[in-house]
Amino acid sequence: MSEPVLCAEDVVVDYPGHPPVRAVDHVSFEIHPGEVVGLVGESGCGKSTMARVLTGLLKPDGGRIVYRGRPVLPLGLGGRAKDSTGIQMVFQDPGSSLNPRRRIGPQIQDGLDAARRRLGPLSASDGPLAAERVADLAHPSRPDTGSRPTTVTQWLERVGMDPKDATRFPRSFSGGQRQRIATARALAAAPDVLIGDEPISSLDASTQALVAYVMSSLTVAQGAGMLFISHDLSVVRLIADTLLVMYQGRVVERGPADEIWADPRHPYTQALLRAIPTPDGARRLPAVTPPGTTYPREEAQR
Amino acid sequence: MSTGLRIEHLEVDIRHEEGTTPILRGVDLAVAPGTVQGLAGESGSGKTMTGLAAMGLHPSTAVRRGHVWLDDIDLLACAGSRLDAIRGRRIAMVFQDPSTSLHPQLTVGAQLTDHVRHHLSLTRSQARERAADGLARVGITQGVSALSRYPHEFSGGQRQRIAIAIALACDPQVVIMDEPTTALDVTVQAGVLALVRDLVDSLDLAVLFITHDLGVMSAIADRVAVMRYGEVVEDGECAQVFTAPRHEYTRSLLASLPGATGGLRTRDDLVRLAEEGGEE
Repeated sequence: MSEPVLCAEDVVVDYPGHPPVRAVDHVSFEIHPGEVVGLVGESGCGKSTMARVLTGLLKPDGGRIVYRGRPVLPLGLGGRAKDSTGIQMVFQDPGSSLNPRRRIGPQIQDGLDAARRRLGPLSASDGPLAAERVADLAHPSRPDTGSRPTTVTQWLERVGMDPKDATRFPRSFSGGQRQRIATARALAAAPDVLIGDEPISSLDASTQALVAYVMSSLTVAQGAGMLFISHDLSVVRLIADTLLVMYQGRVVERGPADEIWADPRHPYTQALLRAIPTPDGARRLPAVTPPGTTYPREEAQR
Repeated sequence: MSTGLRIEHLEVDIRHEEGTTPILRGVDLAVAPGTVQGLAGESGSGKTMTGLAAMGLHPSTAVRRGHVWLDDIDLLACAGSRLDAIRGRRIAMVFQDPSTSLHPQLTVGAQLTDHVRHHLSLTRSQARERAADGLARVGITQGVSALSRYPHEFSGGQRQRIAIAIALACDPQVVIMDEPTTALDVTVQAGVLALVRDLVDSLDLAVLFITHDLGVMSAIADRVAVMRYGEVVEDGECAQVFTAPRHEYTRSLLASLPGATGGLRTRDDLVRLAEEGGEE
């Protein structure tokens, strides 16, 4: 197995209060290049806190994040370190994650510029020195740097948009289109890992699966890893290789997505799956768990 | 005997500087007592406007035409005190987000009793009793002590139950629910859906249930109407709409959903959908 590109090592986050709330409770996992990891759970389980820790937006109270063998330092006032632009994020609300007052072309260009600052010229055809740098700096498991889109036009085409859209403002696009643009902007920065924090939950149901697919398949095609955070297991299981199920700050089940979907072992995962209503017209009410039900916080063995 | 709610050729236009834009283009719906009529559609299809216009809660720039019959009363012809006497009493509404539809600075008891005493001539203690009964009916079992608590002291699911209790407090015949479970976690949503079904059956309620989530729709609705561009394109029995949709749009909606008939079951289905260029 390849080296993991991003590791959470025994991460703990406490939010202040009386008593403090332990939002993330000794969580460890790895994301490998070309792997889509789905992180699912309900509100308050710690999944968004985990996303903030992974990107350096929040300092953990215990444990650490390791990106390509080096610890991720929390974001300071000076902005992100050049190196950490290899971790990119797509946020939940496409209305606020793009700058409303800038045309989308320059916003995608920002991503390309970030990649250039971090990796040097992106194309091996820029000269032998550049080729050497690309080979040197690019992650070893990311061999296809040459096929990476290198212009705004190419990126817009890659996410299924019209290159002529580059001069328009975010407000002229639908939610699904804006998430495609946000994906293009994030992937243009040539990340080693893309983190999506509920990137499809504000979209119409009919576009959710498709946008999730565009996001994850392009990430994998670039040789990067992805963490896809969502509360919607029915979509995540279609795009994720590996699933992590979080409950009360702990990962209570992990394993191949297909296996967990077909055969959940942890009682919480089982309850979560039973509660998902199926659009089959059967007028079958999802199973109700009695209020106040609690589940073991130990991880299920698979 | 109530005949439920009948919406007949409801049209809504929004007036603006450059003229008017049609939002609803002649919506027909019937919600019979003891049934849940689902209203599905994507954002901008007009499903929320249908609910708001029926209740008279549409924006001031909207112009309505058509009829909304509650028994023999046309709600579109009602205004002022006449509408006040009907709304909240005979037809009520439950909104998506209970943290904004409940008043954060008033106790749950005050919100319930104010509402009840506005419509029914009850003494303070009678209203309080009715409020406690109403909470018990929706599964808030702390009884009288719950009345003196504030909305923030309850969980999201409990808050939505309280919003339902307020809607039902004056025994309305018809309740319009606009995305009542969308803000809830799936495990909490399951409980609220079971509650709605139970109330419809036991109180013979007519419920217009608006949601974009076809999984929820399939679980709760007896009949399903699908809206697009301000029109109902399909209206039928739940099983028929999901397993043998008549309209092309319904078929394309289902094709894009995980777990639906003809929808996405495996990753390969999703790859195929992406290659065919799904609708957006």
